[in-house]
Amino acid sequence: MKRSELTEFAIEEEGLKLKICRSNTAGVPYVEGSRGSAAPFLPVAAPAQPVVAPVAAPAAPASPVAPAAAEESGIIFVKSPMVGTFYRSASPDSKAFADVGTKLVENTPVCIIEAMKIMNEIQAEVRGTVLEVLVENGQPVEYGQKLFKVKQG
Amino acid sequence: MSESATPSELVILRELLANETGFVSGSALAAKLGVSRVAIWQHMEKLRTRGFGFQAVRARGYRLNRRPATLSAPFIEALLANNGTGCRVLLLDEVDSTNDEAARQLAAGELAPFVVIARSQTRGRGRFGRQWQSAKVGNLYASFAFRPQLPPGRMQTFTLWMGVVICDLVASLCTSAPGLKWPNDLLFDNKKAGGMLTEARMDSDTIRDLIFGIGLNVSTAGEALPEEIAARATCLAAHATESIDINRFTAALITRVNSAYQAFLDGTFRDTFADLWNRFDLLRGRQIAVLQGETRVAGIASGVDDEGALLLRDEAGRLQRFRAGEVSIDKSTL
Repeated sequence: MKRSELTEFAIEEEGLKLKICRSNTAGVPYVEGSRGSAAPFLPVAAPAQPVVAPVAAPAAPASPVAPAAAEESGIIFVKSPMVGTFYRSASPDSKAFADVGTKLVENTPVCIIEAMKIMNEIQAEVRGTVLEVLVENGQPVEYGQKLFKVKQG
Repeated sequence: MSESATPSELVILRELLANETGFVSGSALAAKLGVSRVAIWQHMEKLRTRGFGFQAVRARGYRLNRRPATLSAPFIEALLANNGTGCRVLLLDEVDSTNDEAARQLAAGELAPFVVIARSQTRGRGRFGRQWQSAKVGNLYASFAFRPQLPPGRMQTFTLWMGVVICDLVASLCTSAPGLKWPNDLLFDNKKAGGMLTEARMDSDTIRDLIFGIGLNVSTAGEALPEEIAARATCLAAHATESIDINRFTAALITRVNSAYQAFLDGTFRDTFADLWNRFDLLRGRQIAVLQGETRVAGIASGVDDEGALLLRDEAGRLQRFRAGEVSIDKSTL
């Protein structure tokens, strides 16, 4: 819902009314449902979520700080410092800044993110080896979205 | 590497430029610099080799009667010294790309702000490394280097702001107004006269280096360019009320860009931005298509939002916003 810029989404059929809203400031969806009776609405809300969340890209975390518990030890991520379009190289015919196996130090350029016609060269800010490139060239990225999976060290 | 004037030469040029219609006495110049009148004459001889000419009249003094016709660092510096920006000028005869040179200068420790200007570029670039065809004469390639120390979120409307400021400067010299095609092209009657490219380098969460580059066709449009580009290109001179002196124009550009940068930093640009945007937004109300990756969306251009994103009313009547993408204009609506 956040990616699609929708702020409200409603389905109504046979006495079931499901409305999902996103407040502009909080960015946290809240779910509201009714079925005439006092039937719980949560089981209905859950399957509705994939309808509004785009399937192609992993949903961006609401905060740039991902929960540490979910991460493997020694694995860190280069995250996007801004909203924009992700490019792996300076031009279509030049080499990617970073690929699987590339060794990174803090100031290694890893990609370009274009936002508002500014081509921002992004530096790794971490030390390690790239294990996986998580975003395809030319794709839009969100603030805090993981771009590269890196084995620390 | 640059072609800067010596401090003494600058003083002489400034004094003569400040009194362009009259004369400046040789003894006044000598007193100002604390040198002999012979030394003044020697400085002038040196300036003659760089495109300046001086008329000397007994008992009255000197007057400028010839100015360099091509980009001249001493001329631009003398003009800038009279209106006090702190921006240094590095003029090169030829460079691969002024943006790349500015980045190299920053990396080598050159203090911002400064501007790199070149008479010609061998590898001028647009977005995505696209080639910018750089004619040999009559054009201006300039890249401004700043160190803003701002979070990237603050930069959202930077390129658009610079674009409309430059449109405003160009409009003041021309009979018809140029337009800005979101996000970074300057056009007259749907023909391109200039383009801009902003590049930034990040230090963790702030922008360390900011380079704003502009290429403008000042007096060369068609003849010096390959045919397929000539048909889609124009130049300022073709729309100007009188002939454009490239050095005066460059000095005015440097002054405007630097004050616009200050206004951007302190936030005072906002009101002016809205006015200028409404004046120079070339797309508003037009049938356009935005290409973003593989997706193409057609609709009516409907201005920009607070973050500078393009707004488009699609065929189903929904308002969509684009932070990036390629815009094409439906020619039938021109």
